[in-house]
Amino acid sequence: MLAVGIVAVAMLALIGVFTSGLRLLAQSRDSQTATQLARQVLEQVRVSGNVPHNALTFDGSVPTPRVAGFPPPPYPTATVANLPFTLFVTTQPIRSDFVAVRVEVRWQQQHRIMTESCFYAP
Amino acid sequence: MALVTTLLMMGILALMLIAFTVRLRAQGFFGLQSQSGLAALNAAEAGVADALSRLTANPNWSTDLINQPLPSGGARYSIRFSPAASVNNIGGGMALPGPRGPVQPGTAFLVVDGEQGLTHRVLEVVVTRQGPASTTASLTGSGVIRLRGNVEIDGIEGLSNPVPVDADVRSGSSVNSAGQVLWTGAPGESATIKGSVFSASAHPSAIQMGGASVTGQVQNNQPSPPPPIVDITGRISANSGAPAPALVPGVTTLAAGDYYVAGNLNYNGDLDLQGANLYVAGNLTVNGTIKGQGSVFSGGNTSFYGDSEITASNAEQVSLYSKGSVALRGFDGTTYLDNLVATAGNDANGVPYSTHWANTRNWTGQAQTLLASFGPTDYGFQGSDFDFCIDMLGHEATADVTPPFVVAPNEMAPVVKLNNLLQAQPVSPTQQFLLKKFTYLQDPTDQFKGLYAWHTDMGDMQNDVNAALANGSTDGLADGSNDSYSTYGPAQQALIYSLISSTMNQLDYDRLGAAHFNGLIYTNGYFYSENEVNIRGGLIAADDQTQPPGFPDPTNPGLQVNPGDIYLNRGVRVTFVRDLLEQSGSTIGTFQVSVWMSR
Repeated sequence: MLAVGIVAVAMLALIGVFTSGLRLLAQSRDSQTATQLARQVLEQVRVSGNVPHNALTFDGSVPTPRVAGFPPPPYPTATVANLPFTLFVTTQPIRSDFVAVRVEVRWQQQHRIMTESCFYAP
Repeated sequence: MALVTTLLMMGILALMLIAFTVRLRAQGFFGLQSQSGLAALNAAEAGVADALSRLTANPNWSTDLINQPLPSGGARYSIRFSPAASVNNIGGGMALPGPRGPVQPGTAFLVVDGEQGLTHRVLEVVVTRQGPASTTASLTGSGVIRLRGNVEIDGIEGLSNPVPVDADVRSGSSVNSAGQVLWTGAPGESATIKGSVFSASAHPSAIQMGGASVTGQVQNNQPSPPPPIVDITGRISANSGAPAPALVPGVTTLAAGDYYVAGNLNYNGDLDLQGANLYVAGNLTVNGTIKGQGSVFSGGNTSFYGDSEITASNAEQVSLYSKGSVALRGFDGTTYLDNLVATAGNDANGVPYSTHWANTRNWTGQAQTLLASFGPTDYGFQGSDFDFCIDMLGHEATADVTPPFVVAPNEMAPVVKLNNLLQAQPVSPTQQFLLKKFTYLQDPTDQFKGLYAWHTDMGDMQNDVNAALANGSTDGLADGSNDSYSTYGPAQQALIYSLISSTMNQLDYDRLGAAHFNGLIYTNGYFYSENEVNIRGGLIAADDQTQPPGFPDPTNPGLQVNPGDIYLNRGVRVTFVRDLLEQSGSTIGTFQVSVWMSR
């Protein structure tokens, strides 16, 4: 009887740990996907050199219309493995030819990652 | 027994739990590390962008940027300038030592360190300035390419890095008839092309280069990418508010900035651009040369003569954009001298001028051969055969009796003797051109001035060499570089050796009377050149259907030279210089990263 009790307690604990572990793994995978999406936007901006010179905010949940092709895809949204991601992009001029671009990716309401770089825009 | 089994199972389950936890922690760690690495990389890329922006504002920028934060904080980047880190040689004339080898003039080597927490990502980039037109061929014409008489086309990496590269000739004319690329020469004349010849025409005789030496392919039916179309008129209009240049007789030096001329510009003298951009709405006629560093835009036809001097600096180059046709003429200086010495007789010491002329060419050629046999580690010995050659060319001293040179006293300094002969001739454009050229080689009134100038002490030598390293000056370079070579370190020795090699190689001992042009010539009309001209850079003739037909071909009045055509007539040499063309139009171009490397 004692053995059965020990096994039952241990199994419950194990199931709990496994469940939360699997959830963490899924979150980590989703976070990496979101990071890749943000990186994709920054990479396309760098390759195309298409950066607005003024401060703008693009909300992918609206979605705010692009201006002269900016922001590039995957803005405004992307769905990966049936999970929707929404992108938010802001530009902030530092000098007349030097602009910061921030990309935030949100998913499942409570999760988000943010990445940022700056671009030369002659 | 049941308890033991249970405890055993518990142990196994505990091990599984530990393994799972370790996996979770590792996953979390790698995820965080990946995100930090990405943030650091983004910061490093932001640093590169910041550098491009700062270089645009000030091409000589070389101030350290330490721990510059991105706007949202967190990630940072740093750029440090030193020969072991970042080196800005955008405005330089000569290569500078850098962490990965020499940093070529017109480029910047930047090491940008991005960091996020403890994670660093380092980017190394080469930054250049890209002009509005570039070419990978020595001659690019949308029409016919016609070569006549002695023609030589070759290619090198850079003026200070004369490694041979292919110099291709490309005709974009798809007209289905013979002679889209054509060479004609009289007996004794030759054409050498160290590269390939391509024609877009499918005609089997589209390329007629019989008798010419072509080291690469000769292929018809080879469409080339169309030459770039530069909005010359638009650029001139956009700069119509710029001030007019203040032109003075002789030589006009234009400082960095933009200049505008509303109508035609006819100028008797040399235009020396020092980072200047000259915009001429009408025709541009310069009865002299266009040299220095900058860009010239001409809304009409352009005509000018070549330069008497040479430079070893890639930064010394002009980009000429002409809406109308371009004529670049030389002076036939070698033929003039051949004829002059044949009838001039002897000098005051009884030495035939023909001997001085022959010695000038011979010793220049020997100096070039000797230099080519050296390398950076075995150049620069006082009393070497190269040293003797230079002394004999310019220095009026006692006879040289060191084998293999046994020279009578009166035969020393033939460059000076020929200068004296030229001074006694009637004034003419060719006589004036050659006087400048021989004075450039050795000033007859001051033996311490000129390429072959002599020196009396080490300080003088080092002064001349330092000036050459700083700005490409060639005064006193030959003797100075040789005799003071051992006083420099290995890195500077390599630069000095490439500098003197480049300078001497450009002298072209067999064509000492040639005129020079360094840079890119771009026209929407035709390009015509004649009379012993050396062009270092490249030619683009891009017909944009705006220019009228050209002029009758002097060798065949039934033909016309038309927009998009290139015609090199009598004694034209084109040396495709890859590094130089990469910087063409740099005073009007934008900065960009030409090479990305990640550490």
